[in-house]
Amino acid sequence: MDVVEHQAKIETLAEDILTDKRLSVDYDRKRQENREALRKLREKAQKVRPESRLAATTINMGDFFIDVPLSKAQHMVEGAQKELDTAIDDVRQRLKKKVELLAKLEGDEHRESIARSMGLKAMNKR
Amino acid sequence: MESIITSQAADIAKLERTGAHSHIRGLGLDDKLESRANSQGMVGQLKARKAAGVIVKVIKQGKISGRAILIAGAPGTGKTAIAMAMSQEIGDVPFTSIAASEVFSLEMSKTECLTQAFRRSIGVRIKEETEIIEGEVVEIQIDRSLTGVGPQTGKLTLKTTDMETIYDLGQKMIGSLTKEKVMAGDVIQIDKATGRITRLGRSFTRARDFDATGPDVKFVQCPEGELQTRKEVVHTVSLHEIDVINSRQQGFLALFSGDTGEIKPEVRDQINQKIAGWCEEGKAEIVPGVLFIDEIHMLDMECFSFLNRALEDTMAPVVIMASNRGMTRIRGTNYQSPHGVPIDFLDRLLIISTQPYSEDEIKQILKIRCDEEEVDMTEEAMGVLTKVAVETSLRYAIHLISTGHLVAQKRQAAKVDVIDIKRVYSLFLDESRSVQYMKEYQDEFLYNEIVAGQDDRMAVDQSTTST
Repeated sequence: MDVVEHQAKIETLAEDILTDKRLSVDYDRKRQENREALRKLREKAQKVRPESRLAATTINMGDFFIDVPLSKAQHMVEGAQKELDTAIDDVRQRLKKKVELLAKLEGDEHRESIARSMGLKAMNKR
Repeated sequence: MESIITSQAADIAKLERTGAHSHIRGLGLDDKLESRANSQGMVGQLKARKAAGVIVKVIKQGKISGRAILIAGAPGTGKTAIAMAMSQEIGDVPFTSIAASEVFSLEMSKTECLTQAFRRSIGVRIKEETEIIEGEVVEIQIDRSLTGVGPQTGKLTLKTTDMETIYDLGQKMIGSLTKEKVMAGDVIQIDKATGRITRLGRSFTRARDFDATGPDVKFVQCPEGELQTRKEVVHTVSLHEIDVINSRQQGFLALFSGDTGEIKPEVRDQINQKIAGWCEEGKAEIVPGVLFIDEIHMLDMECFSFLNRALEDTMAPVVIMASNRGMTRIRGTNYQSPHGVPIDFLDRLLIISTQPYSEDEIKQILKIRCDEEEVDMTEEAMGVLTKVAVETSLRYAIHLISTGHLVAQKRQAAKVDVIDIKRVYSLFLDESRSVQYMKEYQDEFLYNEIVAGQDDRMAVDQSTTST
């Protein structure tokens, strides 16, 4: 019975890790899309005067489209981008801990020690 | 013609030389650390292997450091084999192997050499991380203005198996993309901080784009997952490497020439402090490793007292030693001691002893060696060889395998048979027969007089100086 429990733990954790991986990919896709959008917005902002009637753009929000001024749109996307960046960092940190735990549960010392050193702070970052 | 030559070259590159212990892949223990009779190239020595297994387990958990282990046993009972197996089992911690005689050199003092060996066996793990963009190039578009002057602009479309995106290119990126000759279908990696572009190869899906490809074209899978990822690399460097890099003007070049010279204690102190600081900040971690010193009886009294003290250091590795001596003189003194190791030092050691092999075990070892050296041998020849090994020594019998194989090849036989063994047995003398021969013809050799009242070593010295 103990074995079953242990195995169940491993399976749920592994499932969790896969979900997180998927999540970070999805986040990154969103991030790339936002980046493209920002680029387009900036290009457009360079072409028109900020006070002109043309300095507005249409944003797709889920089910409907809304017209907003360019600067506001830029601001919104940038905000979303920042949130995404922190979310990705979060997922990565969580993932590292989970991978370490999984290695521990599976009794793989080598992988566990590698996973543990992944938690170090990077040398080339202040 | 071209293809034939290249295929030959590949074969030669694959050839591996077989060493005396190249058949050993591990200690041959099961999950409960019980030794299996014949596994991973190890045969017999069940107790010694189990003891070694326990030590390996503790080392892996990082629980011991600054301990010393002595593997003692008669010649040819697998001491070095056990040490090699331990190094294979230990895996990712640093393992240094030296012979005690290496300590004596004119370029370096004995203690310096030992200190370097110690520091070589202590690893420091550090991490580097880089943001990279990695993907397969779908399309590159570079726009030039009509006049040809003025800035170029462009677009780069990258994809992974999960996503696709467009990057706008500036003047510099266009420059480095054209310099790297990147084209659609290449898998590239862009370092986000520096903008460096590395071509990893061509995507497999584009393998049929051209009918002929050059020899240096490498095909890789289209990357999976995110386009922009963080690559984290963990390095393990030894303290010695850090010492060398910091001790000289030329820096790391000394690592390759091996001409490191003596390193000042101040440099070491500074490095120790720096690393302690990193550990505190969570930037580095220390991995105590293993130092293996073979033929430990070759160390002299000074080295032993140095080891005594060095083992007490907080950053000392696990030291494994091997000796094949019984009661013998400690080098540099007139005292007798077991294994040629001073009693006070011996007291610090965990001692593993190896027993002589039984006939059955010898046969199995010979079989393993035959497999390793790719020699086919008949059952009778194997029996004869086992007899030879029992009567002379295991090493001698192992030598007869490859030599016997050559003789068998000469008479164009596929398998080594009894006559081949007999032939090489008569061609090459084993140790006892050689001694026998020497005794018979002693008078015809040079310098055989031994001056009474002096030990053998002195006699040799005198005879060489008198010539």
